[in-house]
Amino acid sequence: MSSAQRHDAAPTARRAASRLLGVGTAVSLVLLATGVLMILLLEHGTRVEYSVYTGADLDARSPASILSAVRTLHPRAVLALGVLVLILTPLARVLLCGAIFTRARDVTYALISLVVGAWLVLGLFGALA
Amino acid sequence: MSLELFVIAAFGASLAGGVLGSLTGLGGGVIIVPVLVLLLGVDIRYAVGASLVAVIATSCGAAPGFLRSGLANLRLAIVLESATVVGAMAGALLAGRLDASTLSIVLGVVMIWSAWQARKEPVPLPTAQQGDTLAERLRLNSARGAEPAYGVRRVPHGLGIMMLAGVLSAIAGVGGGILKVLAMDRVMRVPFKASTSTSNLMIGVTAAASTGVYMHRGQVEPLIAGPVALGCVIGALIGARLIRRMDTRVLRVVFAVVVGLAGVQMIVRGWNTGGGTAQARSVEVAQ
Repeated sequence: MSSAQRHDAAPTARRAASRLLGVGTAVSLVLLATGVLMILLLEHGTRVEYSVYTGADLDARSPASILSAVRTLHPRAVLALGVLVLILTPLARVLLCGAIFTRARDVTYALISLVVGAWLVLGLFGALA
Repeated sequence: MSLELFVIAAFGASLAGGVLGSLTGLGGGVIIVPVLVLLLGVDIRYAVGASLVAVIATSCGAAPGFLRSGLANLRLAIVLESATVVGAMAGALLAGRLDASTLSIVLGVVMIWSAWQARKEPVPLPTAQQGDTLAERLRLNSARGAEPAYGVRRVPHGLGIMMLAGVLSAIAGVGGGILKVLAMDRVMRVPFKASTSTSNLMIGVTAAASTGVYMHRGQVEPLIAGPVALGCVIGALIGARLIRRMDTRVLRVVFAVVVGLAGVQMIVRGWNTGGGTAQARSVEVAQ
């Protein structure tokens, strides 16, 4: 009998994943709601036009630039941070589950989580672009 | 268009998208992309970026409830995610070599046929509560607390379809969520609500990997993606509550309608953008 069969890490991983996803979503929700309210209050009456594609500003194109821009407290930067937190939440879930399965020596699930997590990191940090 | 109207319209469409996306396990793109492009006049490239964020928002909003209630099967999600990732890697190598327009039209027809099939319960297999040997070994059978208890069947077939879902997502940017639900429901014989909930957990992961690419290209515009994400998160929270009380037969009809709509969109898009390859305009409808 393998160690994975002696101790089932899935219930722990499920509870932890649920909590982490809940916290990530709540943080993102607060940032997004704040950003939307700030935009509506500060840019009230302006017009928006997205029929011609010019691409998002450079400071909304990578995690590092978003984190740097948010210091300005510009509404768009707050919105970009909310979106970034949301995007990072599934990655955090995969890595957390990987850590829990590794700790429980559930080799199959630890390895799978590692491969999926690596793919996500490559995607998020632009290596797949 | 005035800023207020744009934000309210994007938020409202995303709220509906979040509810439907969390119920069906498909994300909210099938509603959000047409509203952004056709009603709000947004360029398709921005709409695609916002649609991917919508998928993640829907997944993150609904998944905690689905995990707590035992509806979503975490081990099954992790195993199937790995196959999708392998498929997406292969698809990334193939993208640019295949004609995405033809593929879109073929996929659209397959989706409409799948929608027609999915409206009914599959014929039960003998010994429905027993899983395959591989499912036993990987401990994929029903999550604790799941009602009713179920065994997961035909795991290798399911893994194959998930790889195909990954390939198709990378090439045509579509079909991931739909294939995930159909594979679990029709092939692996996971109960329908568990299929949509587990798909909901998985789509956030696959969409997150693609979103990084789109963000670097500048397709994730905060003023579009922000209100969309906000609406989807709130919609998904509502959807996660609704699904527990919803009759599975009604949920099947909702799923079939959404998949049918996605199929029509795929055919129209393939028809209108004929002649190019996938990298020129990979489009996310329902990750």
